[in-house]
Amino acid sequence: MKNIFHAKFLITVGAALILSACANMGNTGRDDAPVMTDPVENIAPPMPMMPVVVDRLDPLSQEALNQVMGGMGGATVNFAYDRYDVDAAARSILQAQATWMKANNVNVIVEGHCDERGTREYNIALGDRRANAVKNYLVAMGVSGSRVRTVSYGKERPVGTDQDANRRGYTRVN
Amino acid sequence: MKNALTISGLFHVVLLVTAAMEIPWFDSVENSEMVIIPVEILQFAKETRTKEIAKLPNIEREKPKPPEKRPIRQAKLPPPPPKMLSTMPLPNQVQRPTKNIKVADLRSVAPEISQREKPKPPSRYNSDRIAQLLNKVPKKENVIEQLSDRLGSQDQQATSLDVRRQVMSISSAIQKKIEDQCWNPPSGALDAGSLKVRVKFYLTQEGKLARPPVADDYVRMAGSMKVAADSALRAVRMCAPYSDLKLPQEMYDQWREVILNFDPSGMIG
Amino acid sequence: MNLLKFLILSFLGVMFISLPAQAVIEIDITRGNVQPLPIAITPLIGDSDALTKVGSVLQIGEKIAQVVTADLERSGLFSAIDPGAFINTDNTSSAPQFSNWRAVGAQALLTGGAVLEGDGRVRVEFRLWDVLAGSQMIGLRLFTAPSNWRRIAHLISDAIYKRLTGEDGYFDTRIVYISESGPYLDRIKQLAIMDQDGYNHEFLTDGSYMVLNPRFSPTSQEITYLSYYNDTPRVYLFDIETGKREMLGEFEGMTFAPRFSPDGKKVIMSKAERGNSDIFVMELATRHVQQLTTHSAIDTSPSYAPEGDYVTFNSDRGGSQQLYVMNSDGNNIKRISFGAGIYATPVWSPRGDLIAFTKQTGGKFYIGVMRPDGTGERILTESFFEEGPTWSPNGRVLMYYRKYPYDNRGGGGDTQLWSVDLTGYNERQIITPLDGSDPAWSPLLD
Repeated sequence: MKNIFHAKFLITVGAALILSACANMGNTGRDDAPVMTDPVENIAPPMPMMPVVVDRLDPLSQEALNQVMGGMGGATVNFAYDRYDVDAAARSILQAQATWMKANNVNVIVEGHCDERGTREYNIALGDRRANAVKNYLVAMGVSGSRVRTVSYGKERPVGTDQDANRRGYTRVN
Repeated sequence: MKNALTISGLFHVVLLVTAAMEIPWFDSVENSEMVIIPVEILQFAKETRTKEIAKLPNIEREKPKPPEKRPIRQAKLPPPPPKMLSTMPLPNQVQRPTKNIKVADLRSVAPEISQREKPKPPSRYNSDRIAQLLNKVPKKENVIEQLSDRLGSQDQQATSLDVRRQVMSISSAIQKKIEDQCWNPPSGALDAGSLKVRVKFYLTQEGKLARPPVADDYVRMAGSMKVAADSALRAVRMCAPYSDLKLPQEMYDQWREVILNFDPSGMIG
Repeated sequence: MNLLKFLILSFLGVMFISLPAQAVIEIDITRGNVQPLPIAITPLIGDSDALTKVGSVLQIGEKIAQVVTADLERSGLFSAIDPGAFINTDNTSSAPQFSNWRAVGAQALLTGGAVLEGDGRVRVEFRLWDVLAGSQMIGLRLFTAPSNWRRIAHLISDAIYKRLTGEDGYFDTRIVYISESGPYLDRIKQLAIMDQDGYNHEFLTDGSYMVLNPRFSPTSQEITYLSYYNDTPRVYLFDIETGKREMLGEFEGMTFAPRFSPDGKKVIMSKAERGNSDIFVMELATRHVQQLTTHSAIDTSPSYAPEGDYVTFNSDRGGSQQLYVMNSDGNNIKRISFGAGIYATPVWSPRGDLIAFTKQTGGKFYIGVMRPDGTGERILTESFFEEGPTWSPNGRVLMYYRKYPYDNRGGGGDTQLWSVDLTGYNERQIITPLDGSDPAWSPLLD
């Protein structure tokens, strides 16, 4: 594989073989159309090592929860700046979480997190608000409140430098 | 000489009579425009010698208020230069570089203590505020020159005004030296701005301190008040000798004894 | 009539310009140059043959002079004269040659000596001199174990500071703070304690669980802080002498942002329960808990006034985070911050005159102070991120922490402790072994 192209391939074996290639042209300035056949041949050997991941998951695991939305991100909902209301995007995720929780006998801890552009103490309080907003929604969807614990980490556990992504509620399998 | 005394006596009588009879009228005059006054003063000054005038110390002492209404007096109050409104810090704030150097020396001895100061110049916020704090009092550079200019244009012949002017420039010179070079007001105390200190000192004819300066009530002082007094006494000592001011020898009597009222309220909020 | 007017006015005119012969010149001095006081600090003399575990008495004397020098310089109120410039270095108990000290620009002079006592202790004597007046301002004698020489130095610094500024010093104090290490997505946060100048550093927790918000008790013997021990964030009490830890009460919700009352008998804190944070106070002896605020908004970061009669805190009850003051029973809540931006972490000065705070506006963070009635707001420092001021015990210096931006290579985000005095000029970093945040200044030690 040529290094000039930063190519990432996600291969899933299911009903059919789906190959998706995402070539990041970045600012290399090169307009050459990526030749798809070359990389396929090169990475063909590892293909047998890509089973249907979901099948292998422990249904009560964190990974299972992460995939409730059909992929990554099922455990995380995001919030607007200094807000703790559950918006439409968050609601659909939480509905999936609630469905999953009702189907599986697991307890969860909802973590409340904030971006780093605020004071520690206020963010602990804000994180608590967010965690409880998530919990309240799950309970409203029929999950028993006793199965959901909340904890606020304030701004102490960022997931990256993107502050939008740091404002979040994360549902962790206990 | 005799004439002057006679005139003076006559005026005393007239003044008393007038005051007794027509006080309201007297007031109204005081408040009206007095364009002719400077002229009258000059006339009298011609005939009057300094020493005679000086024989009226008790009257003199009561005078501070009225003169402020007079045009002449404006010379003492130069209009505040617009500079004070700017955010420019006073020049004396530019002391950081030297400190940095000393500090760096120390660092080699005690490396784990950072003596690092702000690498950048003080932010606008800081300079704004410090300038506000310290710039409250207008800069009085060239006070003497200003005084001379203003007074000089108004008065050409009056010997008494000369005396007055000289005393004022002696005061200004001492004030300027103390303020510019010697007084380091204590800024640490909570009530630093309200710590007023009165210090008295005597000078020899050569401009040296004739004896240690004294702060009023020093023995009863404690805490921040004492610290303020110490800073005032240090200022007087730091500035000695005052020979560099070239105080006029013929007027030694005028500057033999000096009282300084140290008042940081305008600087330290 | 006109003639009369003329005569009287003329007479008055004469009065105004007349001068007495033996006049006293009286001058108002209203300006000065606020600048560091030049002080010469001589090494304390001592016997180089008198040995202790921490070096000879001579060495101890020299080190004490160095620590005093560093303390005073760091305050920004003094400038130590380079010992290389000293004309006479002999330091005897007799009166110094003041003219020589004046010649090098010193206005104050520290001299003294150290002696090893028969019982193994070190006796330190020092004198502070007014160089211009040629008189002694302080003379003190202190005894201690040789290993404790740093405290002697800080006590000397405090004595000098007090005599020359009129305020208590703050050198014989300690700092408790959060030591941070590790990559920014996985920070290890430990409780740590050190002298105010960064020496005698010790970790109090091992970093296996997160700790935040440490604060000293008025006796400096205890620390209250937030610990995530067992993933259950609660306020704890830590005894520095014994190392004993104790959770402060069992609550359904999390407790955080603790602070001691000025008498040390209570801890005021926030409790978050079901998404709502209010302010509570716990009596330590009885563990009795009283709720002070009942608003559905976030109420946090409480701090007592030095007399214990008022509490300032942070709340977003008005729609955005602002500072409030209330009676210590929770009544009479008043908003005090009205400037642009949001305000947080109010901390009442130990001398009662000011409240320090963190301010956030225009994408930047600031440390500032205002009077308890909200007037006189002054910003002291600004940066990309800074928060959490703590007062020196004399109410003249603030310590806080800064966080630096991430770089685009996965680095950055480091935190440092900084201090600034109320002038806003004397800003300095306090060096810590690792990164540092959440500093809390102890009272003067006993």
